[in-house]
Amino acid sequence: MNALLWKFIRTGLCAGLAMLLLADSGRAGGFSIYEQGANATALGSAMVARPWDVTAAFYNPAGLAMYGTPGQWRFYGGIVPVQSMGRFRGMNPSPGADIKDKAVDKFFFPFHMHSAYQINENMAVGLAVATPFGLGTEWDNKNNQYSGRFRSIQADIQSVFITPSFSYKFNDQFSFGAGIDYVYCKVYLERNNPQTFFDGTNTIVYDVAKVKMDGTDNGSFGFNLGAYYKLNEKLSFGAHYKHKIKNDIKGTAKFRQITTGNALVDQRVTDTFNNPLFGGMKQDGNTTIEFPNMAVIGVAYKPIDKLVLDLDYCWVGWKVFKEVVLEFPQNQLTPTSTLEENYRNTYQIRFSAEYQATDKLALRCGYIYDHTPAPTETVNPLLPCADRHDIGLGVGYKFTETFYVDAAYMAVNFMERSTKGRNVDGYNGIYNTHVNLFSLSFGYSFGGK
Amino acid sequence: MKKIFYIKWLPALLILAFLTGCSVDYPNAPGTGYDSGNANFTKYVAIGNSLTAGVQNGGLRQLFQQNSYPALIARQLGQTSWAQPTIADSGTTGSLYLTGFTSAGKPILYAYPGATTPNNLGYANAYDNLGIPTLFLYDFLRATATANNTSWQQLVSGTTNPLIDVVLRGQGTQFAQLKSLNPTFVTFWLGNNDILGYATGGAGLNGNPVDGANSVMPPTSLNDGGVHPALPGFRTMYHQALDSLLTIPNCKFAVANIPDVSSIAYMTTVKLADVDSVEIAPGVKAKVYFAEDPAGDRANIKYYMLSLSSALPTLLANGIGLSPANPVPGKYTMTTAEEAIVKDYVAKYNAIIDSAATARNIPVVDINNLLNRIAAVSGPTGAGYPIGSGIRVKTDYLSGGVFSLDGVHPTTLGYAIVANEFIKTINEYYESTIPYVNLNAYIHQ
Repeated sequence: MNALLWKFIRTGLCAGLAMLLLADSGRAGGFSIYEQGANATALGSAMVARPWDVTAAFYNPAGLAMYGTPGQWRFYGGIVPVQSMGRFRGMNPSPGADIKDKAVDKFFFPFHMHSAYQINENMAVGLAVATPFGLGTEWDNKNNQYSGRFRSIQADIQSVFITPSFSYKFNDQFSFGAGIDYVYCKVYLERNNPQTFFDGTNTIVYDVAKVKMDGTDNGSFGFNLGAYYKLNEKLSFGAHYKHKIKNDIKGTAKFRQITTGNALVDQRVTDTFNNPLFGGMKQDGNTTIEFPNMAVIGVAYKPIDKLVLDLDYCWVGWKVFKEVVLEFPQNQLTPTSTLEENYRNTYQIRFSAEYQATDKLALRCGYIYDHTPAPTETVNPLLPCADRHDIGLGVGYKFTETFYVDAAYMAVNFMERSTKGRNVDGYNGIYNTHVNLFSLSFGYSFGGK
Repeated sequence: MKKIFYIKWLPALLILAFLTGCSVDYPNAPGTGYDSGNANFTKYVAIGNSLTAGVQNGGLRQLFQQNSYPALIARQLGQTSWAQPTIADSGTTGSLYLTGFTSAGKPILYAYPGATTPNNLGYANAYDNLGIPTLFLYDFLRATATANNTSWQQLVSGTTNPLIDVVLRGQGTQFAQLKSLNPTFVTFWLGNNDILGYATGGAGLNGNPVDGANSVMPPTSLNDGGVHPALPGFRTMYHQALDSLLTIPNCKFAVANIPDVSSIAYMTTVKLADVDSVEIAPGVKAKVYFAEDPAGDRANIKYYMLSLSSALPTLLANGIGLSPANPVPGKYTMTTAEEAIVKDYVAKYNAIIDSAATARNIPVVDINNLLNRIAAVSGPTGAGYPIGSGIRVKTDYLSGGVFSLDGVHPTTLGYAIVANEFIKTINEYYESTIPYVNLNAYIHQ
């Protein structure tokens, strides 16, 4: 059976099962997790032209002023647990077709908290706390057997966006919003260092050191702008732009020698570590990670009263992600280490449908085609990126006029990605990744009227 | 009540969905078959010198020959019985063994003093690997047996190369035997020795390329009527060789060029500090004088040959190198000017190879470029050349992983990298899909 078709069927089955279990819906991805709420998870984040609830604080602040009532406070918060799974099959010449590696199944718990206050008929302020960029790839390196351990054993990027925004309604049809993105970012990288040695018969590769680097950027700023235009009761348009953010990560690199039993190699490594030019077993390690520009435009349409469709086009300026340069300012032997990424600008197509089954129950589904920004040459165990087909499903239930719960599941289907023998570092193989998002969010409002 | 039901069960159901979440499988292994493209690989034969024969640690040994680069290519082509003139496992005379390290961390080598014992002299056909150590370009069409005095080495230096007899067995020239096998694909890699012996012999004094006293073999002249007026030049011989290859019916070819021998471990391993640390008596270090360093400031000398590390204590014990009047001979050192001569020959040979092959629609495997890429990131502060998996190799002796004990010939891993360079060029040119050699199989972890 066609692999793509099978993935779709399997996704359908999984999603169906999830629905039967009533529970959830979700979605995430490589280095960007745009699903910042259970409704967005179900809707594939296709929301820019329908910023009707308080998640507009994140997706399009223009909607805030249009849909609040003066004096009203609105809150929406929850989690989007992410389950990521990865498998790798090597290729010749390296690491070899006999290699099978497994990523550690991981769970992350990104959270979100959106809120808004309507000041008067025309003005509202919002605050979104979200985690739209993050990743975690950890490969199973039991007994130092993971074939990519000299590239990356573990890579985690976590970020928190705190986004205060202001929204202004010009009239009943047009509104505008703007926000500041304050970003806290944290990075953790781990790998082993190798040393080759020819013993007269064989070339041996020893694991001679464990290197761990972690760092944080305590504050970088960006901004975002949104616009919303409601042509009539059936048709509306939205646009949202999020400016790129450069995170200067300052941190520490820690080295630990792994003794090999080969006195000569061990001595050589000790000598390197003791060399004053090396900078010490614990030294500064810095890097820069830039989050890309994003621009979304979309249209929402109500073919019948109870059904809302939304189609968004999202452009992402991933070209900023050229390389990850690790800097070791105290180290004069290897002051930098560069991982080539050379991402290209890319796009997503997002589609959502929401059906109001009863006054209380809403049924939702969404789909995203996410075109990979990573060229074949730089697909690596840090970021085994691929084209993605994300399918979201979810429900919303209104317990009262002011309290509601959303649950969603999203299957993030990464297409099988082969480096086709072209990896820049010669580490070739095929990656298979799958991510499940499960999301549960609560909405509450008070005041107003 | 309904409200409570939902709130109570939602998290449990979420967790259930979590645990039954979609899973992910290992991608399938790529197939082992390949497409021959515009070539036919049913009968592969290799022509070359020691590099093709699979010399490692200064000799031929069955253990290493089984992973000579053409044997690796033959395995990738699916040729299961590919014949090589194997040598019993002590190796050819002079094969090097690493027996330990000095307290200073210097390797202690042992050279096998016994005789060379071929394993399959009785093999009925010509060998599929016709590589002969120390073979010159001249010999491809002319050398037959040491008894006939037909090899370049015999004509130029008067010494014999017994391995010509081991491989050719008196059954005709390398070319004649190649043709007898009716090959469909041939790799041809000759020309290295036309400059290598000159370089490893210290390249002659003071920029004179033919200083007989100091260079084992002068480089082969580019054109006819050079150093040895009776013998043809490199250009003539290379064109002749390729024209001869083209007389083989229904056969395709790949040729390889000549690496810049000034970046091999043999040249770059011994440093001035190693020279200056040799003690002539306990605790006494002498200043060593070199013939190629008349000023005594050593600014002249670019490389100290690997052979110097074992020879120096003996030289000093015999009083050689202790005074400007009795210096270490020039064969142990290479000056900057001599290096330029070597580089110039390599560049000109490669230009000849390139134009001769291109004119005949034969692809050139750019081994020179491969070695240059590795050499550029070698040395104590070099980042190393990535071969995948984050493993990086260098030209550095022992720790670099690709040069064997003799500092000239690759390790098995080095040969596997060379084999992949051949496969890459062949695949690109003939639009074939020969699978690459798995480097991981030649790395012990």
